[in-house]
This record gives sequence, C-alpha cells and structure tokens, in this order.
Amino acid sequence: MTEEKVMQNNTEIDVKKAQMILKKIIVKENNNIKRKDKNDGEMVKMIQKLIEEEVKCY
Amino acid sequence: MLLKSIKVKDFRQFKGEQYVSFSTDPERNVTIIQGDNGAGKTSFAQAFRWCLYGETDFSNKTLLSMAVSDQMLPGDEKDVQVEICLVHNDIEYTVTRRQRYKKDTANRISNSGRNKFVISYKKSDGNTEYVPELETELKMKEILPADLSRYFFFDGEHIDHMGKEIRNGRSSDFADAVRSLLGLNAFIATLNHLKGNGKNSVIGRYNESYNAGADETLSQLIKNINSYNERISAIDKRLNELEQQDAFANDKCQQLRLRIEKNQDSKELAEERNKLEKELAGLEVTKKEKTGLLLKNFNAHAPRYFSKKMMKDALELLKSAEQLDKGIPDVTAKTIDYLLARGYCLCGHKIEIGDDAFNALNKLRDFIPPKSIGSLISDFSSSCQEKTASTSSFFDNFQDIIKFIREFDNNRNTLEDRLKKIKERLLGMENVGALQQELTNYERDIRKNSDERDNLNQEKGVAQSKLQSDEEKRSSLAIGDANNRKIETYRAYAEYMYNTLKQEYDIKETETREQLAKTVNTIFKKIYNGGFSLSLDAKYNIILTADGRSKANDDDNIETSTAQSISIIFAFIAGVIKMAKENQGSDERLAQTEPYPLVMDAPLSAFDEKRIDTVCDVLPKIAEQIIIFINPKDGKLAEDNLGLRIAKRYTFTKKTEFETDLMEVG
Repeated sequence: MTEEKVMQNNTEIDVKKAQMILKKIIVKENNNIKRKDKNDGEMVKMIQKLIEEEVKCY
Repeated sequence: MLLKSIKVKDFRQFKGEQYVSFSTDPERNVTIIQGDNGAGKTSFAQAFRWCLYGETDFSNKTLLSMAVSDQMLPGDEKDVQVEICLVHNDIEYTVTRRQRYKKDTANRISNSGRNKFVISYKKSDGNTEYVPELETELKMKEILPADLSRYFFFDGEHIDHMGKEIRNGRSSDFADAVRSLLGLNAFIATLNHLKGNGKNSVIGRYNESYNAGADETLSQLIKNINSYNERISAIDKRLNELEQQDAFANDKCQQLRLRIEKNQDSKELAEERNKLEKELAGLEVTKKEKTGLLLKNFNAHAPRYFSKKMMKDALELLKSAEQLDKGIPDVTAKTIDYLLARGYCLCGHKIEIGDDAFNALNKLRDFIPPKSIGSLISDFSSSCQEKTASTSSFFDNFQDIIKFIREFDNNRNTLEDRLKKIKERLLGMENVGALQQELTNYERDIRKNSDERDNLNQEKGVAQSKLQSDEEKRSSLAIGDANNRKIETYRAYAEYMYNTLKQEYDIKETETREQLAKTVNTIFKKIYNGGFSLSLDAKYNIILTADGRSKANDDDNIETSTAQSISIIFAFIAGVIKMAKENQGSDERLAQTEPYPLVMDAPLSAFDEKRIDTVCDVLPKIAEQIIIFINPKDGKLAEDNLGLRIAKRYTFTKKTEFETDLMEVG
C-alpha cells in the first residue's frame, strides 16, 4: 500500500494529492497532444497553476 | 493518421488534376492502384512523400508534367501541386505542397522560388484554420515524423536499405517516434514540462522564483543552484550528443570492419605489389648501368678486338719479308754520311767512292732512319701486341653483360606478368590501408568521446552533489519567508511527481518495448517462417537471430534476402500498429494512439506465392488502412488473396510515355 505522506526536499508530500495532480496533468497533456492548443510555455504555466491550486499553501 | 484522398496536379505523368479517394472503412480497408510497369505507380507513390515532406527519389528533380511543360511558352509559369486530406487525432487536415515552374527563353524549365507548404484543418466549430507557416514542419512531425514515415510509405527499391537501417544504428529520433506511436507521448511531454527544459520547465521556473530580499546567503544559494542546473542541463545535452555520435561511429566501425575483412587479401596483395614494383625498378636501374658499361666497353675495345685478325695477318706477313732484321739499332743516315766523309769505317777499313764498302754503306740507308722501315715495323709489331693483349677480356665481359640483359628481360616479363595479375585482382578491391585508417579514426573518436563522457559524468556528479547541498540550505533559509515557503512546497511536489513519473515511465517503456518485441516476432514468424527470430534492443533496433543459436554468436552479421528484409519491415510496422491499437484504452492516462496507413509500392513482388497468402492475410487485419500500388500480375494475386478486404480500385492508363490517366474501376 502506498504511503500517504513522504518527504521530498524536507517538505511533506501528500502522495494521494500528488498522484491526483499528476493524473490531471497527464490527461491535459494528452488532450494537448491531440489538439495542440497550447505551446510548451503555456503547458508549463498550466502545470504550475494546477500544482498551486491543488497544493494550496498557507 | 488515416489518408482520405490525394489530388495531384501536373505532377510528373499526371497531367491536369487527378484524384484518388482511399478507403477508410475498417472492414474493407484496402485500396489497390494498379498499373503496368512504367505507367507511373512509383511516381504516384512518391507524390505522398513530396507532399508531406518535400522529398522525392527522382533523379530528375523536375516534377512538372512534361506534357504540360512542352506546351508552355517562354515566360510561362505553371504550378505542380499535391494535396492530401488526412485525419489525425480526429481532426481533418488538408496538407498541400505547391511548386511553381517557369520556362525561360532557352525553353528550359526551372523552379520559380521555393515550394509552398500549407496545412489547414477543420476546427470543431466547422471553420478552417491554417497552421502558421513556421509551424507547418513541426505539425507534420507531430502527425508522422519523416524519420518514421518511410516505413509507412515505402517502395520496393529501398527495401534492402530500409531492412538494414531498421536493424542498425537508428537515431534517437526514431526511438522517440516509436515511443510516440506506442502512446507514451503524454508521459514524455509531462516529464519534459516538469523538468526537461531547464529554466523553462516547471521546476526550473520555481528555482528562479525564490525571493532573496536582503539575504545575501540566500541570494548566493539561488545563483549557485541556477548555475548548477544550467551546467547539468548543458552536460545532459552534450551527453546526448555524444551518444548520438557514438551510435554513428559504432555503425561506421561495424561497416568498416566488415569491409576490411572482405578485402583482407588486398592488404597482402598490395604489399606484394609494392615489393614487385620496387624489385622491377631496381632491375631497370641495373640494366641501365650495365647497358652504359657495355657501350663504354664496346667503344673502347671493339675496334681493337675486331682488327685483331688483321693485325695478326700483317705481322705474319712482315715476319716473312726479311726486312725486319736488316736495320742497325741507333744508326742513322747521318752516321753513314759521316763515315763516308771521313773515308774509313768504324772498323778502320778505308772507304772510297764506288768501292764495295761505299756501296754497302749506301745500301744500308734503306734500313735506317730517316727511312727506318725496320724500326717502324718493330714499333708496329709492339703496338699490335699491346693492343691484342688489351682485348683479351673484351669478349668475356661483353658476353657477361649481354647475358645479364637477356636474363633481365626474362625476369622483367615474369615480374610484369605477376604485377598485372595482382593489379587486376586489386582493381575490384578496396584499399584496406585506407579503410583501416578510417576505422582507426572512428575508434579514436569513440575513445575520445568515452573520455569526455567520463569527465562530464564526473563533473555532473559533483554539480548534482553541490546542487543538492545548496538546495537543502536554500530550503532551510526559505522557511523565513512566506512566499519562499510556498515555492519550496510547490517545487517539492513537482520534484516528487517528476521522480515518480520517471520511474513509472521507465518501467512502462521497458514493458512496452518487450511486448512490442514479442508482437513483432510473432508477426515475423507468420510472414517469414524461415528459422529466424526478431528481437528489439533498447533503442528499438531490430536484431535478427537464427533460431537455435545464441545471440552472442550471431554477431549481427546475418545477411538478409529481400524477402527477409521486407518481412522485417512489415513485421516491425505491423507490430507497432498492432501494439498501438491494443494500447488504446488500456491506461486512461495514456494518449490515445493513432491508426496509421501502410502505403506500399509493389510489396508483393519480393514474396513467393505462399508468403503472399500470409502477407495478404496478416496486413489488412493489423493495419487500419492499406494502399497498394501493384502491377497487373501481382494485382491478380492481391485480388485472389485480399478478396473482400478491397474497397476501392484504381487503374493507371498510360496514354503516352509522358502522360498517364487515373480511373476508378469496379
């Protein structure tokens, strides 16, 4: 069974959350491969936005 | 990608606009285009490559129909155009390439500017959108990379070359293209976006987002980290280049070793040739010296030698003439005059004019100087003896030299015969010395690359270690600032996702490759049941192995026949297509893989009837779309074997040498 929390660079990572973000990213990458709506720069920004929304640091 | 139609205009034999619509029906997915040899099947097949990639194999690069160009007047311009409609990722694209030609005043046809390449597609709202001009090549690469396209659009003439290429030293682009066809694109794109593009990746951008404020230590750490990251990226880029250079050099080395082995005899022959040429040159020099000596000797001694007989005869004659002993040594006419004048002889005998003593002394004048015949004869005799003696070795010497010259001629003829034979054998062989030199150069490059790689890996290790250390320090310092804390957390998530996905990708890629290898081998065994098996290496190169032999013993040197080569290509492409189909829906995160067509020029001509049965059975089941250019003889075989799979048929009708019409039949 996957651990729920792991440490990465002294930061605690919520594994479920990370896997969920990753899945969303791949689906979006998948769609972009088909439609090529976004270029690389835009995809990078989109991934950053997704991480920042999901991780929600306070 | 599936092909819907192709329209050619004034392309080679095809005057005016000619159009073919391809079957996209999954059950009846075969389109056959039939024509006699020379009717333009290959030209038409080349129209695909020209339209999509701007390349053809024509030796005459002018694509404009001769039937059209003959009618043009000086100054006239005409366009050649090929337009392909295709569906890729559920989007309908129209790909058009156009080249303008102009006739000059000398009636010559030449390109007028560069060809125009346009890609448009239908958006979901039904409107047509054009791909920006600078992105058309990139878009085409995304639809079907040129590197891989030749396996989907292939012709019989290049089968051998392609068979070898697919087995040896493919570029990393090729492996990427195969991974992309296998549906690993989304993983690859995600990995690249998270970390792959240095500063422009998610992690790269987070690294640059820290706010140092007035903290000099943090500021320095941020600088260091960015610098290490840049250096590591540069090292990775260089390592990648080195890998490609090594793949190229290893391929060259392999080819050169084979050529050297094949031409090994030439090395020994070349050495013998050099030795014989040296020997021959030495003989020529000696002959020249000997001939010079012969002439010198002849000029010096031949007259004496040849007058020897005459001298001998003369001396014999003089001996018998009695005059030889009548002179008195050292007595001259002056002595006689003196004796006559004083009136008595040396012996004291009185001399008087007219007496016997007087007459005897006067007679003596005939034999003493100045008349001196005896002395002259004596001198002549001595001279003859001397001259005769000096010619005593002349004949022997002369004979020796002549003998050498005769032997030289014989030796030279033998050497020249041998040299001629060696040169004839060497004529068809390569210079092993030059090949060896080339091999040494490539081997040196590989060693040099290996040294550079070792240094770079070492440097990378040091940079990574410093990077890790500085990142830890930065993490500690970042806690003090709320914004930096956020960045630290986002970056940690991005790093974690990258590492997890990379691990998963590596496993998945290996599994996919192993599965592909099995699939390719199964198809190959069906098509070509000849005691061989196929496997794939890490770079998707195909390794052909004779059954029952270990791979290590095979040394990759199995020579393939055309039937084997074409079977390998079919099996590989069919395997990729089959795997791509099977992968659809297997993992919801993976890109939906695309169907691909197989466009084949004279594919059946390399097979015997039994294998044609198998090929015709296997291919339409695996590939989503088959387009075959075929001659009437093979066309009948295809009709018999493909049967109900054929949905569309076209024929080429050759009107003249330069004009062919295309018609849909039945």
